[in-house]
Parts: sequence; C-alpha cells; structure tokens
Amino acid sequence: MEGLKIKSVSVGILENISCILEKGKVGVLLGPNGAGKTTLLNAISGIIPVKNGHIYLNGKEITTVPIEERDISYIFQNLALFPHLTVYENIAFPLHIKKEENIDKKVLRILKKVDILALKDRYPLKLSGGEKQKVAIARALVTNPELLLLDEAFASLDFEMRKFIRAEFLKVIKEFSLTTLIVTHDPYEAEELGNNIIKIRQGKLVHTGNDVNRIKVSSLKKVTKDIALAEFDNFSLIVPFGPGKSDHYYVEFLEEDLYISSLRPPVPTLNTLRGKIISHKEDAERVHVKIDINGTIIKGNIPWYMWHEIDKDDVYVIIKYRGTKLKGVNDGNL
Amino acid sequence: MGRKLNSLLPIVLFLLIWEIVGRLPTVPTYLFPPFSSVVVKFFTVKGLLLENIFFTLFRVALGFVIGTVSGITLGLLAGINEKANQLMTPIASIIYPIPSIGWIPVLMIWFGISNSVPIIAIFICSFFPVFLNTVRGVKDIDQSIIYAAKTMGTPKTCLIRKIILPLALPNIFTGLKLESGMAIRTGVVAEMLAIPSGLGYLLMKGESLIDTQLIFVVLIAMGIISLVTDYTIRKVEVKLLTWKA
Repeated sequence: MEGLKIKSVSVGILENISCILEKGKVGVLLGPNGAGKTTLLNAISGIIPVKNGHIYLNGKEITTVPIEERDISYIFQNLALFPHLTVYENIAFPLHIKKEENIDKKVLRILKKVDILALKDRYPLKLSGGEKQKVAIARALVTNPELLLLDEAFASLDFEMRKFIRAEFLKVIKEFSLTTLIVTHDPYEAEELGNNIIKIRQGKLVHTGNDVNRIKVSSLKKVTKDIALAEFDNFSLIVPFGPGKSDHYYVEFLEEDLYISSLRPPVPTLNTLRGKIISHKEDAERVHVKIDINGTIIKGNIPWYMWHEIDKDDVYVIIKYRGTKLKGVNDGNL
Repeated sequence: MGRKLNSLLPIVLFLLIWEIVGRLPTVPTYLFPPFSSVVVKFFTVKGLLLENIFFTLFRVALGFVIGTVSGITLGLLAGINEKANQLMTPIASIIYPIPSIGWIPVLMIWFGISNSVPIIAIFICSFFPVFLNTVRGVKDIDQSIIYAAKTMGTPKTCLIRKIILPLALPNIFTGLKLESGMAIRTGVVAEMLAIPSGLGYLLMKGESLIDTQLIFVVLIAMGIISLVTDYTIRKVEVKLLTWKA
C-alpha cells in the first residue's frame, strides 16, 4: 500500500497509509475499535473505493480493479458463510465460480486438512462457533488466493477455542504459504499471529514492526499456583505462572503495557525497572523510545505531551502484571 | 394415529351437529340443508362442479403465477438497485393496502365481462405482497455475505441466482402464504360479479335458485382448494428452505 487515502462514513478519513507485506508472510493490523482497521481491509478487498494512493498485489496495481477480479479471500468478522448452502457447497462455491477442475477432490482435500470432513453435509446454522470458523477458513483457502484478509475472525470465540482455532489456522496458512493480513484489537493475539505488526490509530498508521520486549530471567521462584517471582538483574518481576518446566525463562511484554516516568514510584513497587533512554523517534502522537536497562534494551512509548518532562538519563519503567508473559526456552509458553 | 383421531373428532362432531340441526323440523331444508343432503348434491353436480373448479383454478393460477413472478422479479430489482427501490416501493406501499376486491368494479368498466377481470384482480392481489416481501428479503440479507460472494469473483447474475434469491426466499414465502388464500377469494368474488363461469358463478347461481345445497357444495370445495394450496406452498417452502429447519 502506498499513500492510501480512504473516506469512510464510520471512521472518517484514513490517510497516508503506506506499508509492505511480504509475500507469504502474516501481517497483523492492530488498533483500537474505530481506528479504521476494517475500513482499510475493505479498501484492499475493493469493497470501498480509495480516494488517493495505490494498492499493489504481487507487483500488480489493483487500486481500481473491481472487487470480483481481485484474487483476494476475505474472512469477515461474522464469517459470512452462505446459510443456504451446506459446508461442502460453501467451500465448493468459489471453485465453481472460478470454473476450476477437480472440484470434488479439492473440496474433500481441504475438508480433511481443517478436520471438518464429518460436517460436509451440515448447514452453517447447525454448526458451533469453532466449526463455522473452520469452514470459513477452508472456504478462504480452497482457491489458494494471492492474499487472505481476516477481520477479527476469532473474536466471537471463547478464550480456549480462540487459542485452539488460531493455532490451527496458523498451521494451515503456513502450509499454504499464504500472504495474510489479519485485523485484531488484541495486542497478544497480534503477537501470536504474526511478526509483522501494523498499528493503526485514528485513521493513521502508527508504527510497523514487532515491538514485543523480551527479558532473560536469571532465577524464577514459584509464589502460588498461578504467580511466580522472576529475578532480572536487581529487579523483581511478578509474572503469571502455569504448568510446564524449562531450563531458562524469558519475560515478554508489549510496548503498550509499559508506563514510563522520571518520577520514582512513591512506594517500592514490583515490576519496576530503572534505566536510561538511548534513542527516540517521534510520530504524530507518541515518542517511541529505546531504554537501556543494564545492557538489556526494551522498547516503549511516551505521549508527546509528556516527553519534555522526562529525564532521559534516569527513567522508571513500570510493567503491568497482566501484560507480562513467562516463556520457557524448551517448551514455549508456560 | 391417536393424534390424528383426536384432530378428526371435532370435525366429526361438527358434521354431526350440522346434520342434526339440518334435520330439525323447525329448520327449513331450503335454508339450512343437512350435511348428508349436501353430499348427495355433490354427486349430482359433480361434473358441473369440476368444470367450474377448473375455470376458477385456471384464472387463479394464471393471475397468481404472473403476479408472483413479476413481484419477485421487480422485488429483486428494487432490493438490489436503490434508485428502482425509491421509484417503485412508495407506489407499491400505497396500492398494497387497497383490498384487491375493490378493483373489480373499475376492471369491469375497463375490460367488460371477460376472463381478464378475475385474472387482473388476482394479479393485483398476488403482486404487491410478493413484491414488498421480496424487497424486504433482499434488504435483510447481511451485506458481508454479498461482499464475500463478490470477493470470490461471483458475477452479478450468478450472485442474484445463487445467493440473493435463495436468501430472500423466506420473506418471499411469507408473501406467498399471505396471498394464496386471498387470490382464491378474490377470484371467486370477481367471478360472482363479472363472469358466467367458475365457483363464484356457481355460488351466484345457487343464490338465484335458492339452492343452498349447491352453495354449501361450492363452499366446501373452496375450503378444500384453499387447504390444498396452503399445504402445497408449505411443503414447497420446507423443501426449499431445508437450511432453516
């Protein structure tokens, strides 16, 4: 996307949107509700027109190409399954439209791949939320599109099912090497889904790239079944703990979960680190900083109106407990 | 079996009461004939009745089919195209509440004593509920379903045939069920006033000859036709809308 300007009734004007999503990679469009994420997806798919700028897909400009002629699959937030068609017919539908051969073989293959072969004769109204999700994914993948768009497609599921479907989805799109752009408002979902995070806020692209901070833990002490105390340098971090064991641990957290200040917390506070700002970069709303904590670099951001109050050589970084994640080197998530 | 018997029992009871009341010495047979004499009358006028049922059904079917097909076609157009909707829906909304029977006198002036009167009256009665329900059905379709089909490359005609029309069907059937009984009633009234054939004509003949047995035979025939029509439409609806069951 290059210098896109989009006018939308619901979120106003999106402008100066430029970013590149590499072929075969998963990009995550992250932002709060009303930021313009769905509008951007709608513009890419051709549902709404672009005022200015260009959209390219595999080197070919598609800015003015009609919606029917872009080779894009779009999984809507409500999944948009055809309720009057069975699971099989839903998945076969795009193949019939594209007049492809061996439709039966292709449909059965994808049904097996996403593990819904037993549901092939059912209608969407008779499926659970997770099953519908799998059908939508199968329908989107069956034509092997050049780009797959997902608009908060996991949002309607409960926590456990969301985690499961997300993992299954990632497995399948990796296998298909599909270029995918996923919309979410959940930073943790964004982190799990892709390493190319595109942030959007009030119709503007804020920042691109992965901004997950990672600190190596020197020792870990279990406090309760669910909480552990992680030591890092001379600092102590309270982090969520779960079953599983590892030789080495890391604590991970996102930029959003940091509070940066030059004022010492009034009472001794856990999850507070101390360091100095070594670099900074400003955008329309925030100043993005890199902070050196005794040799470990973490990334954070400060609202621009607070920037002049910060003593760059001595800052306190407070990490939200809920924002932390403990990860083991051997077995991944705990 | 038990449930069927239970539902038949009130009907048997009703016919029994009818028979008893019709045979009361105080009730003249020419005003209120017993049920058994109506059955005997049916066998006497069987040929005449079937011939006139055919005339009525032919007119109802023709008006109903033309009204339904044009109602669905124009309803789809108005549902898809906002300009067509703005042009047609206000007019339809004004004409729809006018009872179709009300059109018969003016149709008689325009077309005289001819088949056109009941057929056009039935057309008016069929067209508007189907048209308005089709428009509503198309408008009620979730837009993301339409966009999903479009992103798959679905051409417009295929989109209408494979997605829009099937998804508007539940609303279309609401209109069809509303109009089917009404179409028969309108047809019969038009025949009573404007045509010397059909069930409406037989009713008027029964009235002029004070032949209440004939009138009851025709009324029972109309009831059975309405029941069969309603049953057929419901069966077709269940068949076409299996996905909703």
